[in-house]
Amino acid sequence: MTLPQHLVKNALQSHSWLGLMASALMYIICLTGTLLVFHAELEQWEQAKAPVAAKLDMEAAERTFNEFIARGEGVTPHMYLVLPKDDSPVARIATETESWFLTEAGELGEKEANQWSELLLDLHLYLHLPESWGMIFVSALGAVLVGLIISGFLAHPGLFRDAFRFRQRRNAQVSETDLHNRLSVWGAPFHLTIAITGAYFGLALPLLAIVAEAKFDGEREQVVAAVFGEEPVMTPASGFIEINDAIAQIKVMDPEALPLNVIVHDAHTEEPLLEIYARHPGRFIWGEGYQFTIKGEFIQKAGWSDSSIGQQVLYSIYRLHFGNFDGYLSKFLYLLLGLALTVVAATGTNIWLSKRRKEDGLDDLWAGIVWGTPLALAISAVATIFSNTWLVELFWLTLIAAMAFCLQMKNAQAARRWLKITLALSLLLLLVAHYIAFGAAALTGGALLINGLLCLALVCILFDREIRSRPAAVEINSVATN
Amino acid sequence: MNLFLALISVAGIAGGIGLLYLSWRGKLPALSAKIVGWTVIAASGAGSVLAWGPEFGPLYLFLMMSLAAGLFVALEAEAWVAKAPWQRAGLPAFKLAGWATHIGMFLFVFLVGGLASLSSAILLGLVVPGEFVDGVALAVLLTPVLWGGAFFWATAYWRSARIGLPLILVFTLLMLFIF
Repeated sequence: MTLPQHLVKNALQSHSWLGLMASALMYIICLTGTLLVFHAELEQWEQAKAPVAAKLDMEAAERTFNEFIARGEGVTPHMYLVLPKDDSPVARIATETESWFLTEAGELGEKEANQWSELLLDLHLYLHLPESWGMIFVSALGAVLVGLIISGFLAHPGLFRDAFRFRQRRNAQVSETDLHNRLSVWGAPFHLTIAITGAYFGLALPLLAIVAEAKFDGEREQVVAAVFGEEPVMTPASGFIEINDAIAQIKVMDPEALPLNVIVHDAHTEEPLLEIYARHPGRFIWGEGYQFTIKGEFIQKAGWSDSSIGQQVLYSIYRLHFGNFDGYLSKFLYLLLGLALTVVAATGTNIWLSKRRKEDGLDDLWAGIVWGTPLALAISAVATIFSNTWLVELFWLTLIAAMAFCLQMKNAQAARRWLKITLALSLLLLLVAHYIAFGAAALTGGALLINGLLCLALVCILFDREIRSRPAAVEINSVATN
Repeated sequence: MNLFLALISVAGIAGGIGLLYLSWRGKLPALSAKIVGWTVIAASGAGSVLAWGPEFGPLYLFLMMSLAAGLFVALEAEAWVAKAPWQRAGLPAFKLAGWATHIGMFLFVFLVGGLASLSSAILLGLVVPGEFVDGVALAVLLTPVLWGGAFFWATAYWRSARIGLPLILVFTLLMLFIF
């Protein structure tokens, strides 16, 4: 089947404009999203000396949690006891704003401080814009990605003819085009999944508002209750919260369920609700919620594991998007495919730049964005080892400085080379500083994984030919063309 | 996870993609290699479901296909050659009017297209038979697809989109709030 030429032409025009409009932000979102696959490990890396509690003394943890709530100070409406998991063998007690580690003996330990991981997450979720509309804006970029996939396929009449083609020996335009097309076509199911699930996070509130107005006379609580289930009406109760008793009942009800978090809703009132989230292996759903009175009397299941298809789909979106549904197999697959999507985002603009048959400030700016972003992340990560202040500002200032440096160099290839060298040095400094700060703890658990990946990134950069070869001097044409 | 079935499934996916690659290279008869290749991939998909379950299995099939294809594309890569720099110009003299038009177009689709997609998806979700929450889930999944389609429509066929999108928005909002 041959597509009409005007459709291919319009699709290519659409793809070019959508790509150019969104390229910089899309690149940042793809890169940060790829790194966030290892969010749990990054948090461990940031506080490598935090107590590991893989074999948590649950009796002691239950006592400590109850004592924390009983003292009243700092108690928020929702209180959390986070249990150790395979990829995050730490336990924590948390309010809505702060969090403290628990030792394996169930005692309260140091405060959690993961400002760099939060910087990365906030950058991905809303680009450090005001949260209220930043998340909607990032969701729109998810929709743009869908538009890019649609236009990309329609603009590619040689889809099957070029199925495995990769002509790297040709000029920049051909090699970048082949790389862009191959990665985007073969990765399309993954890209579509990421785009659709990613858009959900920012669309939830506007969707809630419209559905509430259309069907429930503006009563948003009724929509929430209809979608997420009604909270049970609790009778007044106080005293010791029987967490272990509740967990024991879960093990009888669903032997395969793995408890994740304990939440006490309305902890500061006389009608608290105890809810325990448990992972169901082999399922995309984040978990099933088991609701109890604080005395450990079972009330109901939230129904995420066996209710309507719609509820199960909604509750599966998080794990499907972030790739943390099947241990390290899914994480490493998402890492590789996420990197591929990041390369697609970068090569798209590279293609447009190389088609112009000239080099100017736009090439410099783009080089600054592509290599300045990982550099800014590396430098802010180095900074976090010494201090947790001004990290967001440092990230953006570094990125702007990288772009300014590239503009000043007036030679994109040379600028890229210097940024890659600086990135390599930053990664080396990061590894050394992390080891000095945390010692042997830097070589255990999640910290070891992150440091291993940093070493791999460093080696890949050092083997980059652009670093090892001197860039050709570029003749400056003083007369601006076009 | 059934490890044995998982390994067989992965091998089958790689083998199936390999057959497609060899047929593309002309090393095998095109039609038969493609038929056998896709059959092997489909069978591996069934194996993937048996290995990882009905939820993870299909996703792993697509993820593994992408990776396997990437490996064969990498086999096609020619030796890297330094890119020759282009003649340098002064600061870009890009056409601001063109960029301003497209930024305006982007904002138009962001607002009007976004609302139109959201209201269309919600309307469809509420109209289809089934439970309310199933309709909400459908709306959640459909909105970014429709919104992405709106972005494509506006950038590919601006003249019809600038009239069509507001009409769709008004129509779907009316349907939602009146009926």
